[in-house]
Amino acid sequence: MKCDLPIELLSGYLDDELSKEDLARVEKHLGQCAACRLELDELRKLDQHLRAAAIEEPSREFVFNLSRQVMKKIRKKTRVSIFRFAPIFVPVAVAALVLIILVNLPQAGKPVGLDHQVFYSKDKVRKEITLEIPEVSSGRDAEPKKGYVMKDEEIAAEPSAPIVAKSKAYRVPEEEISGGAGEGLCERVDADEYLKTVSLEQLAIPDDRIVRAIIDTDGVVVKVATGNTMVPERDTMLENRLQGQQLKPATVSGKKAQIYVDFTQTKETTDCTTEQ
Amino acid sequence: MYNSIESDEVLIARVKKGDCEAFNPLVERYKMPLYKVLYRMVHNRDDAEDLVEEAFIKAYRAISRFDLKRSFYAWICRIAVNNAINYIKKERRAQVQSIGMVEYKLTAEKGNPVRMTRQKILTERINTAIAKLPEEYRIILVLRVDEECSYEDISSMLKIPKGTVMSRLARARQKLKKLFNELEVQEK
Repeated sequence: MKCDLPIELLSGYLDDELSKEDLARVEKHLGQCAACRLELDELRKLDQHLRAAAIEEPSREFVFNLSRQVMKKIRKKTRVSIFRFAPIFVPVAVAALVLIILVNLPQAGKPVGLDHQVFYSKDKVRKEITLEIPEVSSGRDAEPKKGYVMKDEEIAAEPSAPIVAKSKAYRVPEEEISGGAGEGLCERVDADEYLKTVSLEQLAIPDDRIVRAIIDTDGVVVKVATGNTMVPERDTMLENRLQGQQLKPATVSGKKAQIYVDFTQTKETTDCTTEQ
Repeated sequence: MYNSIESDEVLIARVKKGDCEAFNPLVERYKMPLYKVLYRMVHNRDDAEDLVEEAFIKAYRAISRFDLKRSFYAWICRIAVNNAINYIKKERRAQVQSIGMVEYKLTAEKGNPVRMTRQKILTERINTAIAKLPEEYRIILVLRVDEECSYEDISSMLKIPKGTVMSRLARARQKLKKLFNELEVQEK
């Protein structure tokens, strides 16, 4: 084409896609230009060849089974279409997880983690200590005699729990109790003399109970342990009543001392001492 | 079962509601036109058939986004063409093979004047010329000349401006004419 008409306009004219202005311009030009008319004719024939050009026939499989194959795959995809909800499910799951973490955050604002583990570990240890079953006395042999005075170090070493204290008291060896002053851990005091100063009636100690107490240097009952003759049993009311009672302070070698007294065996032990 | 007289809109509305069986008549209705377009693009029967199947499956998966006011065929044709473009980009070897195959068939049958009518020669020549066209020209020619898509539709399908559609079509036609004439000279 050897004229100034753009080929795009000629192609657009062929496709009937020109604006009114362009259409008028092309029609006017075609009326004057034989070369463009020839060019348009060739392009039109080319389009006809293109439309008429046969294509390879599809296979029989395609013609008869395509829809079956497509539907089979579609049904399969429909069955696994649960994943279509993934865009909804994932954010919901994440939100739930964040909510759980926030609810479980400690008040200090620390995230759940090592601190919690430590806390529970401590709690566990504490429980183990609390639930420890004290050793039960197997008989009277281990029981200390009246008037036995413990040293300050022993008293200080006594655990705070009354049951444990009682258990410790039973473990004091007989030899140490019967030994002389300065021998082993124990010292003797004049029990009779001391007990004379104490009004047992006032204390109302039952006969069928083992009642032992630690009396401090000021004569105050600081610890009380109770039980019957065979199996130590706590009598909380009795313990509470005795604990804090003001008695006369005991003296060892002229000095005030903290003592351990077994009130239950007063008569028997006194008798034995008398006999000895 | 759905019969073939139900409109595209009715069938698609049912598919959208979850009735996948309503998609079956749409496959039957449009498989051949799509095959024709895709065959022109890839020049290989097996590839074209596979691409038609893929187009239907992709269309089904995207059916919820289809606007019932639009033409279903234009919509699925766009899906099919885009899919075929991606395929051609990945498998450029196929294009070369198809050209070779067309040229071989043309040369082999040229020796038999009885079987080669004029129309057949023209068909083979145009097919060879189309196969030799650059991909972007071939696609746009097929959409316009074979499928009679408007410039607006082609612009939408290929995501190019309408002006580009017009200029690319013009260049494609010029190129095709040149190739066609060259082949004619070679045959003589």
